[in-house]
Amino acid sequence: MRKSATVWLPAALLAGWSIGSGTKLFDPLFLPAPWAVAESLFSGLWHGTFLRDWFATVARSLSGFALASVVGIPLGLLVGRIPALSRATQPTIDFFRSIPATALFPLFLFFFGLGDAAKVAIVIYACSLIVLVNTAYGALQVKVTRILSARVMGARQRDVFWKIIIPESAPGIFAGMRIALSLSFVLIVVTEMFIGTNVGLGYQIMNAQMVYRIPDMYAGIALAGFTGYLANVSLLRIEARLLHWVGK
Amino acid sequence: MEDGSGPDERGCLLEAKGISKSFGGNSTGSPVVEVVSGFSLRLEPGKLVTMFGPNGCGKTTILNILAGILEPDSGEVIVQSRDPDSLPIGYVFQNHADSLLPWRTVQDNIAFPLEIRRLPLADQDARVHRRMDQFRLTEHAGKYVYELSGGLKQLVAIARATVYDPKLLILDEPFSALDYSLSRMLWIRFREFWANQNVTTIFVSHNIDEAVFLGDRVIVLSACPAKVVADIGVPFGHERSLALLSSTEFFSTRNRVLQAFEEGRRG
Repeated sequence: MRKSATVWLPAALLAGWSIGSGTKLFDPLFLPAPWAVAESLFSGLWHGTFLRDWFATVARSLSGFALASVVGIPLGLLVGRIPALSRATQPTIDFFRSIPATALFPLFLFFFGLGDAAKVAIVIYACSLIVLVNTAYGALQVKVTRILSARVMGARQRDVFWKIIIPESAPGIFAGMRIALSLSFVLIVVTEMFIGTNVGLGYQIMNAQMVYRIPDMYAGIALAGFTGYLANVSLLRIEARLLHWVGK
Repeated sequence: MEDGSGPDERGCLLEAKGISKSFGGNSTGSPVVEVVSGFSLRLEPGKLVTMFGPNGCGKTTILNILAGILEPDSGEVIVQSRDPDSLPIGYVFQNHADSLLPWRTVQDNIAFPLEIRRLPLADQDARVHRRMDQFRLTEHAGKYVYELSGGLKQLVAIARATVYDPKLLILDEPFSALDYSLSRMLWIRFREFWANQNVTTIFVSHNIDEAVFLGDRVIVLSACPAKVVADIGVPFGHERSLALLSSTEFFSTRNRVLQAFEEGRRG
């Protein structure tokens, strides 16, 4: 029942797209038929550069995402657990959080050059703030009674941190990581479009667009969509397994 | 005050002398409310003391002060122990949902205090299993706390608070959220466990039957601010069964407690 419900909307979209293309309602120059896109996708994967592009994009996003988590989680825990630090940093964090990372391209190019470093740095910047804010929110939810009861039982600061604060902040940490994972992927694709590279889904999409290989462009977009979807589903699976206790 | 033998000969594990505590005032902007006033108590080792009094005032604060979580405004808590800083205390909080660890199983929750004491794993296992056995939790060992009923959760909390053999056990209305028949069953379980263990215990209750049934001594507290109105010895032995609840001795003690309670409420 639930399975069929999740399939229903994509199937309807695909049907609408097929009908629009079959009846020539959609100009193939702007939106080619789904079968033309599928053909491009498969030939791109088999014979073309799609796999290489996909790997490059995924590697960049995952390294940006991982580093953003490494930066964001500890800082978020500190901010969430130390009220003075939270008060002192909140305006600054909110300020930087409101700036679209893509608007800072020139700054990152200036500091990190044209290579992968600039792309990953943008991801770290934008995603670590998201992870930080969500982690801090999670750390703020830790029940005082839980810490108190651990203390009375003889828990040291270190035990309280690892065995109470970390697990209880995990829902916030995961929420941040889930947003950061999809954002890191989107950001990398965008940076690949605009910051010098010759490999990556963003580069491939941009390139196909410039030479009017429109089915190729949509194939790249579809590949990006599938990847983001799968990444989110996998993280949700892990979350459901680790955080089965939340809200119960 | 005490029957026959002086308190000094019997020893004393912990003594509270003239404790007072107020909340509010100053920076909070709310009026100052005194919740505990001149509270004194001597705890002899191996006794189960119940504290019974009106709801919503002072009892939890007294427990927190005795446990060293809160500092009193005046008065002092004296621990008669070789190393007063390390009197191990087991504390069962009123709200088990906020003190147990929902991400751990029953077994791992009970093991938590042993884990932070860095006990060898085999020792941890043996102790945890003994407690689970005593509280008949063994069949639930692998379940998560959220899968248990309220009564079982509270038993897990008690098993966890006692697994490291604390010298002092503090329970804050552990069964208050449960219905009467389930409470009675847990009284039996708890008293059974306690008769075996003989750990010095303070048990706060707002249920008069519970206070009289479980205690060796019932301390009756007044309404806000909490102070001791009466300290009533309970003449029942170690072993107690539910039949006690309908006996005349039970009623006569219960009546004395009730009378003191009414006096305390009138102030």
